[in-house]
Amino acid sequence: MMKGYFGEYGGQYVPEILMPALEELEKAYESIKNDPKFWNEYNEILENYAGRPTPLYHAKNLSKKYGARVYLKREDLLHTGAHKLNNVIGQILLAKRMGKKRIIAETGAGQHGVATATGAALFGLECIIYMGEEDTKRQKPNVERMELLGAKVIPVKNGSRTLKDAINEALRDWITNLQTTYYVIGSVVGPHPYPVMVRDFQKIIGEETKEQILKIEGRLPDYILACVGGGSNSAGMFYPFIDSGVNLIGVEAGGRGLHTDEHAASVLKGKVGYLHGSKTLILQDEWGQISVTHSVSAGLDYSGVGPEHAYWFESKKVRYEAITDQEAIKAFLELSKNEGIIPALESSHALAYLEKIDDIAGKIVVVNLSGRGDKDLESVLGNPYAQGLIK
Amino acid sequence: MKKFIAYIPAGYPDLLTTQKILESLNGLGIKGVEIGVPFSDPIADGPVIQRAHKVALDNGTNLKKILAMLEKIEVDYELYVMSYLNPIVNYPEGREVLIERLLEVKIKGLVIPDLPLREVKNVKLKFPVIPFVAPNTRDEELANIDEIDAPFVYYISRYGVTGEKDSIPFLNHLKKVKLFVSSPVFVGFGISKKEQVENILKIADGVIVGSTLVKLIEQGYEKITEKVKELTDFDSD
Repeated sequence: MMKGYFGEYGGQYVPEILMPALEELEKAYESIKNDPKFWNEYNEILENYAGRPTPLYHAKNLSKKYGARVYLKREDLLHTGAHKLNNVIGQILLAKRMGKKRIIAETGAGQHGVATATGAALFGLECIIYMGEEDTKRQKPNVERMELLGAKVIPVKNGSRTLKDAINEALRDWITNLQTTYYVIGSVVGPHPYPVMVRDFQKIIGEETKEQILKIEGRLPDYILACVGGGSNSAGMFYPFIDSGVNLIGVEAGGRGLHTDEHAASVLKGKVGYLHGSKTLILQDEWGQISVTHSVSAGLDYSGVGPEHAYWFESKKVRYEAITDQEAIKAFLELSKNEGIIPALESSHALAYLEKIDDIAGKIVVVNLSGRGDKDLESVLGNPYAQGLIK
Repeated sequence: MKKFIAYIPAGYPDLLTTQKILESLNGLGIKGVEIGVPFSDPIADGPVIQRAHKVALDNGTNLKKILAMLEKIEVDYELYVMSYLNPIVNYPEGREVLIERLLEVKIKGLVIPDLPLREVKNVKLKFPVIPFVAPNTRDEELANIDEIDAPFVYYISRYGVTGEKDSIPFLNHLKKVKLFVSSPVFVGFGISKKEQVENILKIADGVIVGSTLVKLIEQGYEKITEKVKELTDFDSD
């Protein structure tokens, strides 16, 4: 494979002025890749500060319902409430090694922003978070958390005022402040080396799962489900299982249905194109303009997807499916009631797919519970469909 | 030689005005115009040009309409198309039809802000692409530029996105670039004043001016020709 590419996807499609910065980052990343000192520090922080390893929980009530053995990988129990911190700790340690004092990040739902603000607070670094103005309103508690952690949150007022515009603005900041600034991208997107690096910082999810399931069940699972927005929790979960014979299913946000324009299923419905530094599958109109997407879950509401997912899709290493807003809400309420776990709306997409596996009886299924759902209470309780179900 | 390239965003405030602006730039002795194709996510542009992109998209401007407009006009300068990569590679009728159309309309080259030197060969556009050079571009990369045989080289004069700024650092790096590159070197990003232009022209072959002109469009396009005259009133010519 060509360097920086997954098959034909990936690359570094950014302004020339960013190229030396990406090269510097790539060199720094290569230098830590096989450096035990770096990984010891990473593991130590994740263990003692963030709470790894996260449990692989045998969900007894879900299992009973499906006549299967359903396990939940509890990333919702990680510090800050989602898998995002795995990546942030890795990147901030790298930024520190590179001598960068100023950290910037984009955030959609606010989970990556909170994780980055947390990492910056831990290491005493200046932290700027770009967040679409729409999202700052939708996710106000997360804005307050970030500010409490000492970060400066800048509402982005351009374009659709959501995640993609926050990425645009973070890139503009980086282009302007290259020398001092490290850009912590929150997903497996962006120019090389980000997609590889973020996946490597998230693959601890899959590695732990493998060890845990072998210990409990003595064999690999039949299915692994994970939701896909940009695709970092799924990439981290899937990567150690690629080509292992396990059925890997990435669940995209089907929004109001794939027959409408209101969804965020970039793998299933996207076209090949170039966005935010990489060649990948993108939801776009006939003129190559990037579409504004829709999902009830802000964390999946993105028009592109990590280039490695585009490659896994094309090479059939992973199967991709979509779950609608309503199906996700149903799964959200069900897990809350039946297992006593309030899942993130993002993760609820993966949970909802359990019902769609035809031959689930007797199978071992792992669902990556990528985050907890406290942040989503307002969206769910304010949703008429959810209100109907609760009654 | 002709030393001035203007950046004009197509469809801002509408395509008819763009046409009038382009016609008004005849007879000024400029080298060329970069016609900006609007894009939903212009990561290399500052607020002024971002706004122009948005207005153009909202009024339905697209690459096909832009090329049809260019076909109708006569100009005495070179035409370049400046577009982010995605609208080029995803042209609705396919890349080959687009290249044919670009040739028919006598476009001299494509300026693609999100296509760095290293990826040019991976995209295989089969059309001249203007290479960008930045103040931090390394010597090894500079040495490769001449292989591209570009109509000109676009030197980004500072870190940051498009928009007006007072200082133009990096003149020393620019001197080095001139030694490496045989194509003419034009300097863009942040240029709005005559003194800047005079300073840059001591080393470079020309300047590219964008945001300053784009701002003037709001006040009536006649102002643009005045500004171009002011900036191109060189003592040396």
